[in-house]
Amino acid sequence: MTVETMMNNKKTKLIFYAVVAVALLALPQITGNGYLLRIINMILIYCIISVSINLIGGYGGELAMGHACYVGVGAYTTAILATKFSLPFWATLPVSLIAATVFGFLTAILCVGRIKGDYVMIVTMGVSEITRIFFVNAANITNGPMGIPQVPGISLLGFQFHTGKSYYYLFLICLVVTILVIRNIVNSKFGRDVVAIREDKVAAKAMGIKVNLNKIINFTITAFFAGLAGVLLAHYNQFVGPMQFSLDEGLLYFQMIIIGGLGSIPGSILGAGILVLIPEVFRGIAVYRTIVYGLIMVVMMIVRPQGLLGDDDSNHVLIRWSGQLRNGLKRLFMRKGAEDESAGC
Amino acid sequence: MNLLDVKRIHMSFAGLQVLKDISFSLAPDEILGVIGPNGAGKTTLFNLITGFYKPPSGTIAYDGEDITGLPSDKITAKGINRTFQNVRLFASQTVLENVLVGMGNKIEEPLFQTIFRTNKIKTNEIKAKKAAFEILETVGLTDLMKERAGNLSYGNQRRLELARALANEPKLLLLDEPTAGMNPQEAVEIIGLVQSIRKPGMSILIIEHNMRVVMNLSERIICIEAGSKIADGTPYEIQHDQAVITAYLGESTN
Ligand SMILES: Nc1ncnc2c1ncn2[C@@H]1O[C@H](COP(=O)(O)OP(=O)(O)O)[C@@H](O)[C@H]1O
Ligand SMILES: [Mg+2]
Repeated sequence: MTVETMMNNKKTKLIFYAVVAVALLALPQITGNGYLLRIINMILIYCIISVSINLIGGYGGELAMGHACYVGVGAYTTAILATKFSLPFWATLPVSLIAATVFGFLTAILCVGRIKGDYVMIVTMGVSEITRIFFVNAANITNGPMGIPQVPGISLLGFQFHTGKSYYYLFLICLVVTILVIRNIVNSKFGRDVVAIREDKVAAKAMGIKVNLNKIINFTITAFFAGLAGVLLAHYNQFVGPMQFSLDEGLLYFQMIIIGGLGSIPGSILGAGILVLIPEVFRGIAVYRTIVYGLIMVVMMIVRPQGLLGDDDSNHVLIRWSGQLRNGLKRLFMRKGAEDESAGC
Repeated sequence: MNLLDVKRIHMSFAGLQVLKDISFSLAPDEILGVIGPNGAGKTTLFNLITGFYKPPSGTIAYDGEDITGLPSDKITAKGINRTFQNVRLFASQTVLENVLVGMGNKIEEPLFQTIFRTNKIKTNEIKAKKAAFEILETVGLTDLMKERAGNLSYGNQRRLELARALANEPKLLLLDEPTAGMNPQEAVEIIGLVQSIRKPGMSILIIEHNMRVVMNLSERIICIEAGSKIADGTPYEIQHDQAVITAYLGESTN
């Protein structure tokens, strides 16, 4: 019996999930409250980002590389409201989520509405960088390059989170909700349309799909979850600074889904795990992080382009990305010559 | 009343006139063949009807309603669907998923309910999959339901494209050279399939190069040459039309 047929068996599936659930619930008892649990908690937060960003990057095949700014908007909003206005978490959370979501929605409109074609990468990176510069320069709200220290811990329904363990369970719940929502979306008409648009935009239009609307919604959903991750990050670290939301950070999310597997939820989790762990394990070579990641990327592209857990067909996504990259750069530097995607149907 | 009324449409790309003053109409339940040499503008005509391009002048009326220049998603929602001259499937999706995507608005799944996967979504998904399965039965692809579309043989890809276009129960089906690139045996099969899917309430507009095929299949034929309509009539009339004969003889001597 292959692993796959085993997994298709309902009973085996249930047992598998039960074992995973027990292991996850017991994990903090094994690790204790120390450094290890801190890394695990960071992995959980990054998983929220990578699982949701796979919806636009992997399933949708869009090079939306600027998602660090939605994490940043979520983090800064909650930090500012909690420190400057002393608002409680139940009030800062929804405001921060709305801020990140609306910001994502506006970027999406900029990407698909006014500017056509392969500008997604350029626009998203531009928006992300502008946001970071805003964090640095709007010092009277954001405290400038120094960032905002002493962000209070999360306190909800009379419960004050402060130990690593308590945060662990909170993050786990958030991640499970994220996974369920993304899974539900992927296994629906909306999710099928997302993939169809990635595969052939012209044919998708001919099937009656509102391509732009689908992309805007997709982008907005991922910005929402990025905002959620930002809120958790701010309160957990008790600090927010502009360096955390650079372009590198947005690239890191993409490296996570490329390594783990495009269009795969387990892959997104694995990718986040690996890329959060590497700098911790190899502390001494932390300065070479970018080089090491770059090398990993190159090796992955050659040996296993679909990612560790991705399905064979995510090669398509990579090819599409390279097309977008080429067209985007062409437009940027030559101001013409990018292929018209509707031509030739 | 006609199902489709195309009146005096023109189309040009970067100054190059591709369609000149084309008018024709299509009755309910009718099969209309569109013939003409390569580059005559047949596919462009389809792209105009399905909303991929907006004609600079002329009107397209469907079911008594002006649809000129509407976006393609609105046109599809009204019951017009098409296949492509060069197969355009969603390659990484399964055969079943391709048909499900083709069902379009036939599947009603509000996003808010999708997020929580409510019971309504679950039952709608099951219903949709059943309907998609039935469509796959008509084209004979149920065995390959879980196969990725990109892995199908060329002939089966063509069948799947047909199934996908049928999925939202169109009233007007546009087939752009469904036998292109096929060997004679496969071509016969696909034409048989087109005949078998024929049913009351659906008109077909078919671009086809093979004269014998198009003569057998269509009730009426229009011939386009270099962007102009040069003939419009029954297969018999077309066969004996001097302009058509010249156009085709002219092409074959090139
Ligand atoms: N998007 C486009 N841009 C420029 N020229 C086009 C475009 N689409 C079609 N054409 C030109 O219009 C003419 C008619 O093409 P087409 O409609 O594909 O012909 P047919 O389907 O009859 O072979 C050709 O000369 C073709 O090069
Ligand atoms: Mg053509």
